[in-house]
Amino acid sequence: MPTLAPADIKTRLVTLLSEKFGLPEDEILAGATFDELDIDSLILVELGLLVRKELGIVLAEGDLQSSFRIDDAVAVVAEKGGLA
Amino acid sequence: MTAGTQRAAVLCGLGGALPATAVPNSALAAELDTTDEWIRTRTGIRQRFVIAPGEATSDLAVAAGRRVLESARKAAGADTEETAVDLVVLATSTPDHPCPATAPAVARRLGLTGVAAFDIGAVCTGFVYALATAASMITAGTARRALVIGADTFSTILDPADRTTRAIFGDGAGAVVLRAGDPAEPGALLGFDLGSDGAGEELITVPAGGSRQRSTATPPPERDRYFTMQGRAVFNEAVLSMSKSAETLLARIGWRGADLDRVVAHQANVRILRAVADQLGLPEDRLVINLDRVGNTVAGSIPLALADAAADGTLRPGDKVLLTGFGGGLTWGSAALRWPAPYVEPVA
Repeated sequence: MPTLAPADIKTRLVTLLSEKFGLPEDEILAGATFDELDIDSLILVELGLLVRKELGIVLAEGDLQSSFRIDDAVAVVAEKGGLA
Repeated sequence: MTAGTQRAAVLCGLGGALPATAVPNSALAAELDTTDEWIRTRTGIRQRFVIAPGEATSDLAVAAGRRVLESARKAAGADTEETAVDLVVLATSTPDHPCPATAPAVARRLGLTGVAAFDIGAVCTGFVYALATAASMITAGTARRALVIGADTFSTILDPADRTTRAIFGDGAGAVVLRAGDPAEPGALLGFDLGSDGAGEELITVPAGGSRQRSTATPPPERDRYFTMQGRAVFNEAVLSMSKSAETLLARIGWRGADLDRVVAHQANVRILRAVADQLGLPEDRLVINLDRVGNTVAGSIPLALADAAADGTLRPGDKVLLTGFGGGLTWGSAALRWPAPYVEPVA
């Protein structure tokens, strides 16, 4: 697995959130929290599973919180992937 | 069967049974703080079925058993010594009584008094565990022909005030007949993967009613008598366990995931099923889905999904089919077969 920079992780997460879950990319990038994006709690579990599959980074249930903004999620994924 | 011939367990009958009463999402919305939209978007379920007061798991198991025995008889074309069932395995975690097992009573009501009969408890993985047990007894020569039933009535253990579990679970039963045969035949069970992890036992549980609580001789708090499930953690474990188990079995039998025609996963939640397809890299149209109409029927789930898919033509003879389940314990398991052409009536 090639090393990912935080900027790459951000691009991948935003793409997953918009393509898989139909969340508005502009609002994600503008710094809305997941709560403000009006997601249901299962989406964070589904996102964690996709990160594991597509980036090879293992997140535990609960690592991604609904109070997070995209940059918080990127930081957690980078940390869990040993990239921070 | 001549000496030295490799023996396999072959699926030769299929059937299911549901209670008479359907409970649509609108009925739950009228009673609990929930909506049809909330339930559909989070689970994919439109309705589930519940037993009437006084009914029990064995009633559904017997109804499914009658249908599957008829299915196997029609497939064989006759009632002979060779078509006599000599083993009944019932997967359930809602037995009629804490003791004894429910399978002997089911066997008697099906006219099978005298055969080996026992229950298996692996919650939502129960049917796969029961299938593996019965198939192993057939290949070992301990049994010739087995009736394998998955039946549960979770409506009897749900917290009436819990909008999440009330929305997800429904009552139902499904069953198959396995006979001794040849590994090359359609319907031959080609392999199993089974596993467990007791570290997760509290994720899916009825806390009270067993020896741990009863030995205290203290009445349990009301809520401990009900089924509880930690939804998000279970979602995560279910997806990872089913996809890993499926991949393990595929590697063992030399199939590629891309060659699978149908994946019949435990009907837990449509979003779990889609996430399993994502993990396996399979298009969603390979998934067999019937939980929209029956909910999560626990041990009944996989055989009920098979019966629905066989009746409506979703499963075609020759299809490469993978079954995979996940449940309390934690437990998981998978099985693979080429789909035969069993006679099956639609499950009303």
